[in-house]
Amino acid sequence: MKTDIIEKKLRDSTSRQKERLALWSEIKAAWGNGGTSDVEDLLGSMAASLEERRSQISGRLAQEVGISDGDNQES
Amino acid sequence: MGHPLDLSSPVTILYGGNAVGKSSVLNAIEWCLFGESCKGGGTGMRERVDWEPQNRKAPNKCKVQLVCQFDDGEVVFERVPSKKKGLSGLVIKFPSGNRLEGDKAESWVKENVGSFSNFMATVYQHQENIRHLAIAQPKDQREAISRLLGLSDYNDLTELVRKSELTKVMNSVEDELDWWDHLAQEKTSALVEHSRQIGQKISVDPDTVFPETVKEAAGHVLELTKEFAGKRKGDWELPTIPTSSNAFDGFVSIVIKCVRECFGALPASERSQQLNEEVTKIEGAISRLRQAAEEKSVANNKIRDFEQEHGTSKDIGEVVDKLTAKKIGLEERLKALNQLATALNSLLAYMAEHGEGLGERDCPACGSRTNDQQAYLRRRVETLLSTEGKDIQDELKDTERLGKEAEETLREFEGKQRRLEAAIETMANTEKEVAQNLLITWKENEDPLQVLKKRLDVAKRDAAKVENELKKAADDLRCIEAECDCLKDLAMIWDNHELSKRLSSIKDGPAYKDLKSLCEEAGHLKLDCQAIVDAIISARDEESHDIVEASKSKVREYFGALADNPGIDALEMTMETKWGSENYSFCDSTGENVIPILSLGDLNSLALSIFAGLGEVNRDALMFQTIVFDDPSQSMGSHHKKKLAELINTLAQNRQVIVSTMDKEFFEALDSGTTARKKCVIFEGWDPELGPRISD
Repeated sequence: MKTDIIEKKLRDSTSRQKERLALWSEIKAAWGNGGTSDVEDLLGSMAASLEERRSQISGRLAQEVGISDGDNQES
Repeated sequence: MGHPLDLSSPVTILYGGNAVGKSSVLNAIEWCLFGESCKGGGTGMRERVDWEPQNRKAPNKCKVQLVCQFDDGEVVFERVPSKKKGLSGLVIKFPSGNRLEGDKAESWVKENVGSFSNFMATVYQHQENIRHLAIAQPKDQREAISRLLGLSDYNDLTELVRKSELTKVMNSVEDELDWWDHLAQEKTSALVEHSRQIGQKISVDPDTVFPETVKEAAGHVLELTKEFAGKRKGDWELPTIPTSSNAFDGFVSIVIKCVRECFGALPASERSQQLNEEVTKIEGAISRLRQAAEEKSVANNKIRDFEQEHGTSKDIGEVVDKLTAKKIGLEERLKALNQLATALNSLLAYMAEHGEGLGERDCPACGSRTNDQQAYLRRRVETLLSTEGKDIQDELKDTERLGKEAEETLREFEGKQRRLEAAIETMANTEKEVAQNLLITWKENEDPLQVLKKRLDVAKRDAAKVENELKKAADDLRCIEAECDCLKDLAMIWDNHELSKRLSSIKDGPAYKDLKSLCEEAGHLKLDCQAIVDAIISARDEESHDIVEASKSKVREYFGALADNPGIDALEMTMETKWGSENYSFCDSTGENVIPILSLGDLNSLALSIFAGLGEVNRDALMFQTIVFDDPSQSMGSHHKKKLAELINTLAQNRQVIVSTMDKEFFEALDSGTTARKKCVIFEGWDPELGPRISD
């Protein structure tokens, strides 16, 4: 896989080049280390982190508004 | 197999009939490298479904050893069947002397040799799927060609990013923000409707309900409660009026608990309980006294009836005495009679002994004149005993019988008398017990039953009065409970107002702002992932485009050499990317798709041309420089076979070729048509213990 070409294309992005290159760098390293499973682990941990933050904020929001988790789940 | 098989020649031909072990040798090579993944229906080959790498005659002796020449020397792969599912039986020995076993060895193969799918696409062409490359569904064709082009990494990585959990979570964050945006509007409408329904129930306009309204209602409830609680003993702690709309359920619960406890502690409640207990006790006492009186009355009546029939005990006693005296008199008379008879019998005996009393004379006993005193006396004794004596005995028997009957009657009377006495005693005891239980002192000439009845009437009157008091208190209790229900409804309307306010200002809160920020972050991440996927696809397309462009002429050349189809003057292989996926097409010089007009032999030729052409151009990127053809001449005519032999000869210049065939014509074409150094391995039969019988 020609990773240098992929990097070049990301560097040519019109926005967020730095962030995209950083993310690609992580994915590339995981792919290089353990292939499929390491990339799955990397993306899975990012997903878990994002989901945890979403869940926490959702709980705070429900508390601020004053509706129960049950209402939240039901909706 | 019990012996080695050298496959190092540029061309190795495995030739033999059916079921002599050709395919098993090729399967064994794959099994040695890839283990379980090259077995079963998932391989897409029927003959692999039930294939097992085992020696049925010597189960423990099955082992495959594969010696491969790499740049830095020979690497030896050895595999035995795993003893347990999930355990690997692979060992790899390196030129350096190092060795890897089990999972580590499997990982090394995956990293350095690739997957079985890769091997299948780039090295091995089997009779059953040889046409797959030309006519498979676009996705399968893409997969196979990508692997052949060495581009499967691009596709694998793209799929990983696209289908990862991260994509789902990024979407769920955006959904969450949408949900809260919609909630404010939908929930507010629902709250208005809810308040309207409550207002309808309690006849209140929800718009006129303010915090003060609810607090006033709570104050009213407290006043009622205090008034109610004031009627009973003790101190009560009442809750204070809540200041927030959602605290009224708790307030109402405490109030209701308080008034219910007050109700239970009211003086009337206690008095009612006492009176009810007293009524129960008096009713019980009356019942017991009535029962004792009834028993006494029954005993009395029985004696009265008995006396009417048999007289009093005195009368019966007198009868007994008279009969006893009569009996004694009769017994004495009988005794005297018996003595007289005894005396006369003695006299007769004397007279008979002394000859006295014969002839006429006067009886010395009674003075009567008799002709024969002995006969006279004898008759006289007999008469005495048979008349007078019998009469006395008969009368005596009657007297005894009557005496016994009179005594029995007297005993029966005495029994009844005792039962009456017992009933009288029971009555007395019951009266005493009742007096103790109810703390009563019976006055003389007073009927306890009447006393109790009067007392019962009084207790019942008192109980009725107390019940009325309690009924009124219960009405008060229900009234407070109804006020409490109304208060809860008012508080709910207030709470709905408050929630509506909070929902309307939801976007001003810090949590919403954080969620929005997270949503933006997720959106950026989503775009970043998409940009990475696009970059990978773009890089893949460029690379595949280059290889396809470079191999077009080779594919065309090989197909032209192999196929025997005058209708196709020039094969054009093109690649287009649509929706992120590359699609391949094979057209003639007019731009028409050639697949529909190809015979089976031509389709096989096309597939072999693609396989050989792409592989040839992309040779350096392939892990294995070996090609394996398993029965490639199927569905081919003589012309195709001859051309295929020539193609194999060409391929053998750059890659090692192993061909397995049972086709004699193709074997002869290979034998005579290839100039490359070759080795023919003839499979002559199959030995159940040793495997194929072969000769070079």
